[in-house]
Amino acid sequence: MNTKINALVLIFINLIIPFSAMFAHNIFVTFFLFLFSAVLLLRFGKIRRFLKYSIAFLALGMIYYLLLHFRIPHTDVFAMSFFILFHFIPLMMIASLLFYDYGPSEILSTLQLLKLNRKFTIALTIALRYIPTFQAEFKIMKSSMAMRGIAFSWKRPLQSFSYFITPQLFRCSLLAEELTAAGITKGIEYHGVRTSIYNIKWKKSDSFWLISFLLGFITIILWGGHL
Amino acid sequence: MKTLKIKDYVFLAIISALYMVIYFITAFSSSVLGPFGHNISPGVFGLVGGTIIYFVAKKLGKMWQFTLLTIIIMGLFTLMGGGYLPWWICSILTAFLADLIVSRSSDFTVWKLALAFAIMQVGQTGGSLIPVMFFVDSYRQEWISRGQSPEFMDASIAVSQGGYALLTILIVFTLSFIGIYLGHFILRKHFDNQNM
Repeated sequence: MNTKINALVLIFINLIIPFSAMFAHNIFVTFFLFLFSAVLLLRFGKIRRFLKYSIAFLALGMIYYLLLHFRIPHTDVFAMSFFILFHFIPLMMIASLLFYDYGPSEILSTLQLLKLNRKFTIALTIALRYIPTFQAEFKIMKSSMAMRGIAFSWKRPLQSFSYFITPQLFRCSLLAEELTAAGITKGIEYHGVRTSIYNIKWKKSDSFWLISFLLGFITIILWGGHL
Repeated sequence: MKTLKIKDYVFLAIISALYMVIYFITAFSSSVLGPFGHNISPGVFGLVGGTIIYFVAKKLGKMWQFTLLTIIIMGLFTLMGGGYLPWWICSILTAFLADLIVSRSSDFTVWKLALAFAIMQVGQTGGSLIPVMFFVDSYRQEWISRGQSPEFMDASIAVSQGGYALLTILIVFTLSFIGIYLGHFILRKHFDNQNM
């Protein structure tokens, strides 16, 4: 039995979180969002990722506190940047689940429930899938350049950038052709409703996660400032 | 006027992924300059990302290419929790304008593409300028409640208003304009070789 949380729950939560920055005038909202995201990561069994993000969250929070507490001159700008990153960690935790723990077909089938434009959902799903790929491609590109004795050099920024970006762009073009061919074979151009091997039905447990999030979020926004 | 096909959607999607990775690198780099650095980050990206846009225009050259690219990118920002309405509106309107300027025909001049991209990036800048312009009091109060000093907040708000806002727009426009010429310089020989 598939007990995975519906991707729509995660998408919805990540749509809601930015609004917290507009209405939340207390730090408890950020802590609540972090705790909720941590529980989600643990629910998916992503303990290493949970630890990595927790360390980043604590480190950024502490740096921000220390910079402001000791009022070190000319560090206000950095403090603000650290706080923005600190606030961003819960979003990254949830986005990481969408990036790494849901397949493109699964996201595509889920987004189909929203009745969005089909071509747009296909494009969005592919883009979502390929962001981590490019991070890996950059490393491959760097080692390929190193093998050929070409190193990144700040003395020749244009040439270095050219060596770096040109293969990536032409690779994009090639990937698009291969992916389109594979997609057409799998019926990407079919206009009817797609069936899915994934269980994308809204379950009671999905409602539980969403309601828990909304209740906690609203409670903290309304009363967090009095804590 | 050529219309977008499914392979163009796939192409733009993959390009958006590359765009996002480079956007994050440049945005993070420019954030060390503080609020002003954050404001001009679309321009810093424009300097680098102009090459991507040049490639898209050369490879596709179809109407709606930039509007669709922007919609995908804004969709990704929204999924990651970074999108909000004023930014969506500014970005899509200017991307549409860019398409009107340059995408109606596959034959384009570099200066027209540079102008179109510069306008697109100015639209992206709207995302950081609008909150400060229209929600200045709540924005200031918010950060003071988080421990920032009022003096610092006044200074950081100042770099998003009046003359500084104009300077931001000018810098973003110029850097993005140069970015396309940079892309032209880097990719020209590749497209000449392909006889495109």
